[in-house]
Amino acid sequence: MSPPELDIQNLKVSFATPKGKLTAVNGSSFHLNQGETLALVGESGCGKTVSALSILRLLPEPPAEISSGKILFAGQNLLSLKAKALQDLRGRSISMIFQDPMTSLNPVLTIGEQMAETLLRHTTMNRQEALQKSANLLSRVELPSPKEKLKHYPHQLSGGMRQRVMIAMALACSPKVLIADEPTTALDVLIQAQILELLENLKKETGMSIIIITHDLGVVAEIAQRVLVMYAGEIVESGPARALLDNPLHPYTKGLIASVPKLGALNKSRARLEEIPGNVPSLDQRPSGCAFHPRCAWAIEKCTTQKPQLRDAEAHRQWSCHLEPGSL
Amino acid sequence: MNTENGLPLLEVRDLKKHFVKQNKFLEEQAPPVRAVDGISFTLQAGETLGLVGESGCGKSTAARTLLRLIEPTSGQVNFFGTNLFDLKETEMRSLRKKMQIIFQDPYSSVNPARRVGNILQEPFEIHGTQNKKENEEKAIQLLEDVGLTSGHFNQYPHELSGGQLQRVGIARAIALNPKLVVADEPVSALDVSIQAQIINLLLDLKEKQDISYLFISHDMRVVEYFCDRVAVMYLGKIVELADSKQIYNSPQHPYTMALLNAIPSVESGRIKQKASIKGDIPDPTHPQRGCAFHSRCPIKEKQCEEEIPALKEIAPGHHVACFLKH
Repeated sequence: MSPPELDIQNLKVSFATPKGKLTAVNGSSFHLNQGETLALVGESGCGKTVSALSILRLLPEPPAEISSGKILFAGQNLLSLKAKALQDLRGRSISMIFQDPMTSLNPVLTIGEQMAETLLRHTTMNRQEALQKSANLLSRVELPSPKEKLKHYPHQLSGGMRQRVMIAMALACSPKVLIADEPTTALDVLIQAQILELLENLKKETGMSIIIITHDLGVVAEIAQRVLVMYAGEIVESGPARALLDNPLHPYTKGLIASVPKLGALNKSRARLEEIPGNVPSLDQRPSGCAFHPRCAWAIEKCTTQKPQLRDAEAHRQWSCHLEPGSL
Repeated sequence: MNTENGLPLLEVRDLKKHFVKQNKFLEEQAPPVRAVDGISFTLQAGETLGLVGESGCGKSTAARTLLRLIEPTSGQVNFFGTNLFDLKETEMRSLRKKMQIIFQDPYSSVNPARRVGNILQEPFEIHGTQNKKENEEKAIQLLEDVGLTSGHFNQYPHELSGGQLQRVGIARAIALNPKLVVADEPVSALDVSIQAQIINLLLDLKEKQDISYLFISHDMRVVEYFCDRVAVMYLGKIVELADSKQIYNSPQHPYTMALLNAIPSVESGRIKQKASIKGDIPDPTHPQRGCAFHSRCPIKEKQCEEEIPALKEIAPGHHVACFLKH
């Protein structure tokens, strides 16, 4: 098996706040295989976005601090790179697309100007060539009349079109890794289906690897091969997408899947939805022991004091829970 | 329970809301945006009607117009037989006790400078008694009804999580025992594990307090679970209206089919077609001729580009606005 595209080891990220130092990602380790789509799943504040932003070193430091860990990419540790080297990397080898395409595009520059910027920075193209290439990229993401769109400003495009522009921009230098942070959350369901299909097709064409951050398990089922479930800054379960969704191990993963209404359920019965009681803990109120224990129906004495470690459950699957697999 | 002479709780007839752009000096008058363009439906007491569609289809405008939070362009809304648009502002105000709304974003729908207890006493101060002690007790009872505790009484909104604050929004809406609650995307802004809590709470309250919901959402999974009947809106018009079962088991309008097909499914084994609908919702400021959906419709015919299809009943209780299904 070829080595992983990205290897994240024991990443720990904290933020200096008036309430003291808060840990957003607490020593997580994961890897991204070549040509794979990996989903990071979890609720707000679980550390999924912070993990992804750390890979590209996009967090403002301070207040953020990456206090330990390694991020290995193409034989180098991204955490020890200088600012200049990071700039060469961003947008060329690793690109990112964000949730809200309106706020991540520059409203006072035309689409053409912002797209050409990436190409001018990373390649030897001149302006004319960069614009030509931008038009090609826009047609690759199936945006109608791409030449004209280059002259448009972001506000003249719909949300779906803007997200296509973001994707085209991210693909400009044929990156090895694309990080997509909730790429369809701000979009309507029909547009979401189009964007997911587009990402799939582009992955097949280019062979890139994708990290997709989402809270929507439906999106995971649609696009991801492997899933990491995060809770309160830690990975609580990981495994192949289909196996994990069909047969979740961790109580939190079970709860998440059960709390989404199933299509066609009306035909059977309209029982109450299964809910996870309580609230998502905020960073300054992280429970002791296993962070999930106050909301967990299976919690035992040990869970309140001792933090479970991520361990193998079965082939390719890991979880962090004191209970035995299959005992839930 | 048709307590009031067997009249439907809500009867909406040809409701329209057109927004006109203020024209500047010597500027040509732009055509109005037909946000809600002649919708009709009824809601029986005890029933839950879902209003679904993509952003910009007019579902929220429809809800706000029928509560007269914004004034309609034309049409009729009968609430137990009383046309709301005939009422004076003072009469409308006292009727608002019976019709309430829950908003999508709990943080922007409460006053951040007031304590939770004060927020919940306000409905009683306006519509009920001025007795402070009594109002406090009622507010605490409300907190308990929605799964919070009296400990939240003195807290400020920013001290609560999104789910807790949405419970406050729900408590405020049910304070005066309304008959109708409009829930405008009440769970869209919440975390997945919290959404189920709020949906269960809304169902419990419906049982206990005999509330009817108009439930606005873009999440087809939640709507199937929550609603008895569903109206699908597209560009200001209802394109399909039927029982949940009919909508989900045998959708007739090509737009409804596309919406259902586009839902990413968690379960394995669901057969999915590739995205059948291309492109975006057309610009509502430049209305096109014919059926509003024809530019994205995979099965359109010549007629669809020329004429606007009416909403017709094709099976008992199943209404569709599509020439190919009439």
